[in-house]
Amino acid sequence: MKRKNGKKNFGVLMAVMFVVNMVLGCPGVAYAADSTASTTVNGTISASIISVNVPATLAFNIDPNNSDGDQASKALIQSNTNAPIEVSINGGGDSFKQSVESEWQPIDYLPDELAWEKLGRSDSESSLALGLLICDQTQWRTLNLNDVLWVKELAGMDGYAVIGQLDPNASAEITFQTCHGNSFSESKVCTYNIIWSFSLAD
Amino acid sequence: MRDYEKEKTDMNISTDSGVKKEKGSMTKERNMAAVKARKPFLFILPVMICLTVLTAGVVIAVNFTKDPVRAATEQDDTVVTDAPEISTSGNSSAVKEGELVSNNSGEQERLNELAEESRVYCIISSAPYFQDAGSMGSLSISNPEESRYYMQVIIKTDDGREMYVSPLLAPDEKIESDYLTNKDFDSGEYHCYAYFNYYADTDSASYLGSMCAEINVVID
Repeated sequence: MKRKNGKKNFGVLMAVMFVVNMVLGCPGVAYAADSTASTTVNGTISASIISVNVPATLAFNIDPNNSDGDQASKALIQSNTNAPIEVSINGGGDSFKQSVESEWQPIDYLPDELAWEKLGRSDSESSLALGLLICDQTQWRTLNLNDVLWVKELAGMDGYAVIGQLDPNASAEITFQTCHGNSFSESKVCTYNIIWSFSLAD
Repeated sequence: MRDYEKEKTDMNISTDSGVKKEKGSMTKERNMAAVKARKPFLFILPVMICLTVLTAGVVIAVNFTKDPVRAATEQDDTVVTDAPEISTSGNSSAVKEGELVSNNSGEQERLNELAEESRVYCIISSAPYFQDAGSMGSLSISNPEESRYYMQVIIKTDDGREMYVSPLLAPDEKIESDYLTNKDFDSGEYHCYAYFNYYADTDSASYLGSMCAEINVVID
């Protein structure tokens, strides 16, 4: 048995030495570094395309005879971008303002600046508070506008007023809120322009 | 009444005096006669007062309930006494039952349709790339088929330098690549605003509105 074991150990020792010799002594191993082929992988990522659509015209209707009668367009902001999009409006009064061609040109006010229900005819016909309102907060990825964004408030802002972020290929509704007097001797039509701004969200 | 009481008292005093008994009985008779003579007036006076008050009440009531036209007529004969005739020239088919209510049921739909019809599109690469300012770069601007309006894209740096102006694009037209219209830019990455101006027709007067996309233009 002892003899058999000694033979077996000798065989294992020889095998180990052979392998060590092969690894350390074989010239082929040293030559292998020269034959390594490097493959360059060029990954090109195209820039995302911003694709958004919104209504160019939004209208609202004031009903002075009915306290719940005011109505406004519901504007759907639709993003077809495969990435989240940030929606904002530039402050400073250039991006959300009364059109110079507006038939009726009331002065913009904040809602708490006038006692609207007590306004007489001339004040009613020359004053308006118009603001942007989010219809459904759940439609937004993140929302910065938690209250109404008033035209006059935006005019006094520097930089951008960020409304919020939309999920990829998602849409959200916005509408308008108004404060006005109730004494009008004739119907009025006014036009406001909004320049929406879109960018890839961080 | 006071006089009557006084006379009555006088009568009692005279009764108490024994010396002047005869004289007093004569006076008493005279007094009784005077009282008898005044008695009817004592009853008539209240009755007359009551009648006066009643008459005044009736006159006032009649004046209050009197037709104003008739009352005026009685005062002045020049006032027209005839009531206005009911004309039959009115359109009876316009008459409906019930109280006035604000009817804005279709207004919300009209306002939404107005907005939907004016839908405009903003499609552009978020990072147009140019090998150099004189090379053609990828812009990926599109005015899709479903658009109803013309549009023009103007790219400006955030400090207001104009970099690119597209031609007017009709619906279903696009610009995949183009040269910068202002080649006076060095290599670098420029934070820019792409202004999309929309027109109902091919003239400036038909301007509808604008949109803006924030992009980064890269010039290698």
